[in-house]
This record gives sequence, structure tokens and C-alpha cells, in this order.
Amino acid sequence: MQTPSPFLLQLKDICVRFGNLWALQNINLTLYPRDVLAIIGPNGGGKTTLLKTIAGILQPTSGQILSTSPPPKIGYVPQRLHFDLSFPITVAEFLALLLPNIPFWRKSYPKNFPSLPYFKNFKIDQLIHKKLGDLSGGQLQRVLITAALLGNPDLLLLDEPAANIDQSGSNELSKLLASHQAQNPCSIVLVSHDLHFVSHLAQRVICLNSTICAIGSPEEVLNEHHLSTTFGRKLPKIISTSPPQPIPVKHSNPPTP
Amino acid sequence: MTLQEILSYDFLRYTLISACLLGPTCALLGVFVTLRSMSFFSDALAHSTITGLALGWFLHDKLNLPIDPTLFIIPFSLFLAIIMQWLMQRTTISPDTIIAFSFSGSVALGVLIISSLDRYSLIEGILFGSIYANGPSEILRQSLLAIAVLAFLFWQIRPLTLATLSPTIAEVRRIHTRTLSLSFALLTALTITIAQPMLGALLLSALIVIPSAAAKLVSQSFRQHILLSLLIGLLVPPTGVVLSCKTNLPTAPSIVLLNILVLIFCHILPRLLQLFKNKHHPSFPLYTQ
Repeated sequence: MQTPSPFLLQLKDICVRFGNLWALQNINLTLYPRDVLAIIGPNGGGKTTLLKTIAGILQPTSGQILSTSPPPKIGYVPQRLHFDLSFPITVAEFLALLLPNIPFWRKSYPKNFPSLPYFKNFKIDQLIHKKLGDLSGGQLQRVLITAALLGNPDLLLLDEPAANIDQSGSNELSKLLASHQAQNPCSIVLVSHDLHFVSHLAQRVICLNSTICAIGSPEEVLNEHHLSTTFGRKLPKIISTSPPQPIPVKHSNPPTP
Repeated sequence: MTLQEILSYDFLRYTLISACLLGPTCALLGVFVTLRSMSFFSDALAHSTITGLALGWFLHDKLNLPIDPTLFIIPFSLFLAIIMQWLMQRTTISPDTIIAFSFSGSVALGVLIISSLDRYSLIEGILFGSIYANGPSEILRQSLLAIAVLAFLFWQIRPLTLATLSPTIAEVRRIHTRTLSLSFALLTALTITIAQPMLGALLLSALIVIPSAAAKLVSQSFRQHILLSLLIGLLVPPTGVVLSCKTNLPTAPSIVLLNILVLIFCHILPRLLQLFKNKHHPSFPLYTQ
């Protein structure tokens, strides 16, 4: 398969150190336009550090990041918002915060505000007047992704997008991201522990444990050999071609009077 | 005492103007102080004024420097705010621990210096303040502070709100969150040192924290939160001044207690409304025989 060119972002020999701990060592990675790259690995393996380095929040200790000119616009979705849940900010106000041409604390927002392309896809129009603190995990995730997409980014970075949502929410999110990616020239880099989510969405997968242990398509990487090398232990089979079987429910006998 | 009589006295007129200036300024700043979990930070800064003043008197008495000792309050508070922010950003010590030892440390140092100078009467003035100590120069200082706070929030409200919600998203959007946090901490320190002579270190936090906390209880949006905090800040302190004059009670505690009453009212208001709504639109059908 020929890789598209030119690249969006290129990481060359990136190393990141926190005190005496090397979080990332010799990371060489190229991101292309319309790429969907998933990063998997054990806790403390440097996944979020790599994402933050790509986002420009963390400066690498050594190595360099090359980018196209002008540098790609980046949308970032953090794993969670560390905010006071009683913060009475509505979804409309939060999104308006990120749109510089809209005064974010207006009483009424411009009529075209809810008709922005992502609102319908991510069903934000139903949440627009709700407070952020009142949203469920899945709803908040949709709002955060919409917020990240508002500036039409060239690169969308998602940190554990399926962490706070149930299986059906995770499937829905995976479909939404795939349909968005198909309609827009946007690359996605995501960090996830949910290997099903990764196998459904990603074109390429990286196994990361401070260094890149494996990189390739989900079929190439999500196998027992690579996963046990990365995680350091045996993991259950990840990709199954057959549909998931329902778990039989044991009915206990009703209590006798 | 009627309002006309109150306004006929210079010192009471200045007190009312001061209440009208500091009330909304502190309330507006308080919105972000509470949302950024900096209530204890503002309390620590208020108490650190003891050390600033003590250092001023030390230089005045021991080194015979011909300076106004109160001039040291602002630089010391700003210095302490910078130190606390630096420690919060550069170390792994938790913010509440940093605030706790800065608070105790600065008060201990202040009391030590004051005891060596034998000026214990200073402590009472700092802790409780004197609301009638306002003159034209204090009003000018407070007006400039109100303009500075308004200007800062007008220009920085968007990045400040975003950085409060998610520093990571703010950093990706190239907002210098550290500079912003430091600027906000310095503005808080400045507000506290300028407002401290009016309410005193012990009661000052109430003027910053309570209007925002009360408004948050009944607000359905951030816009409402800001406007309601401003309204409480604008109405409660002058009302407290007038009430204290009419009832011959101390002014600063009257303002604080009035703020607490507003907080309690805001706490029970949604419940009262819910009760009223249920009475007229019961959720369950009424069964009659």
C-alpha cells in the first residue's frame, strides 16, 4: 500500500523525561492526512504523554517534530474535564467560548449557531441549554469532540474517548467518528484501552510502552504476540470475526413458600 | 438614622461609595476565585497583610525609615501570591498544602515581628478592619481597582473561563495558562490588600466568596451566574452599611451576615419553587374516594 504524501506531522527521535523517568524514548512516527491512528499500551506507557507532545502541550526533552507549513490546526479532547460540577456553564456557552466571533455570554446565540455541521452529527442540539455538569459521560464526550472539531482541525487528538461511556455509547461514538472522518479531511490520533473500539475505528495501531513496540494495521498489531510483548502479560483474544454471543442467564428456582 | 442623615456625614458617604465599589468588584472576582477553587488562597492572602504591615512597621521603627508602613502590604501580598503560584505550578505539593503552610507561615512571621515591636494593637485593626477609615484617597484607589478588575475580565474572560474548565484545552489553543493564572492571582492579591482595611482579614473572604457561591445555587447559565453575583455584590454591602447605621451594629459583620442570609435564601429558593410547582402540578394523580 502506498502511503499518501506529504505528511501532516513527523516525530523524529522524540524522547520525553519526567525527572528520572523516561516516559517516551526514540519515538519515530509520521502522521498523514486522513490517517486514523490508535495508540494502545499499558498504564504509564506514555500514551497521553505522546498525545500531549503531538498537541504541543509538552515539549520533548530531545528530538524534533516536523510539520507542514502552516502547522496543522489541532483539536484536542482530554480524557475528562477537571472542573467543579456546580460550574453553571451551559453547552452553548462552552462551545461559544471556542468560537472567537461569538460573544460567549450572550443571552441568545446567533440563529446559525445550532446548525453548525457537527451539531446534528453529534446530536448536540438536544443538549445545547443543559449545564455541562448535568451531562452524562457519553453526552459530555460528544460535546468535547464537537468543541474540538469547531475550528475545523486538520488533526483531532482524542485521549481515551470511550473511557467514560458504555458499550453502546462506545459503538455509537466509533460510528460518529468514522462518518466524520469520511466526510472531512481530518486525521485522528486516539489513545484507548478499548481494543474493540480501536479495531473498529483505526487504520493504524501503535503499541506503546515508552518505545514503539509495534506499528501496523489492526489485523497486524492486535494479535497475541504484539499485545503480550507490549503489556507484558497474556491478553484475551481481541478480534473475533463472529458476532458476540449473548451470555446465558441462569435462572434460579423461585423460593418455595 | 434616615438615609438623608447617613449621607450628610462625610465618613458615612465615603463608606457607602466604598461599599458600592468594592462589593461588585469583589463579587465579580469571586466568580473565578470560587470556580478555580481559590477561596482558601484569598483567605491566606488576606491574613498575610499582617506580615506586610509588620514588616513596614519594623523598617519604620527599627531602621527609622521615614516611610508609611502600610505601603508594604501590597508588595508583600503580591510577593506571597507569586511564591504560592510558583510552588503550585512547579512542584508536586498539593495546592491546599501550599496555601496552608504559606498562610500559617506568613501569619507566624507577622505576629513574631509585631511582638518584637510591641505593637499588638495592629493585629486587631488588620483582622477586623475599620469600615469608616475611607477617605478620598481610598476611594480613588478602590475606583482604580474596580477599573482594573473590569478591564482584566473584559479582555481575559474567554481564556480565563476556558483555562478554568480545562487547562489542557486552553493550552492546545495556545493560551498561556501559567501567565493567566499568575495574573489572576496578582489581581486577587491586589483586590484583597485594597479591600482589607474596610472589612478586615477575617471577614474579607465573605465579600469575595459568598456572592458567587449564592449566585451559583440559582444560576442556570454562566451569564446568569456573573450577573447575579454582580447584583448581590452591588446590593448587599451598601444595604449592610445602611442597616448597621440604623441598628447601631458593627458594619463589617452586618455585611457578612447579610451575605450569609442571601446565601441561605438562594439555597432554599429552588426547593421552595419546586414545592410551589408540585402543589399546583402534582406529579402523582390524586386519588379521591
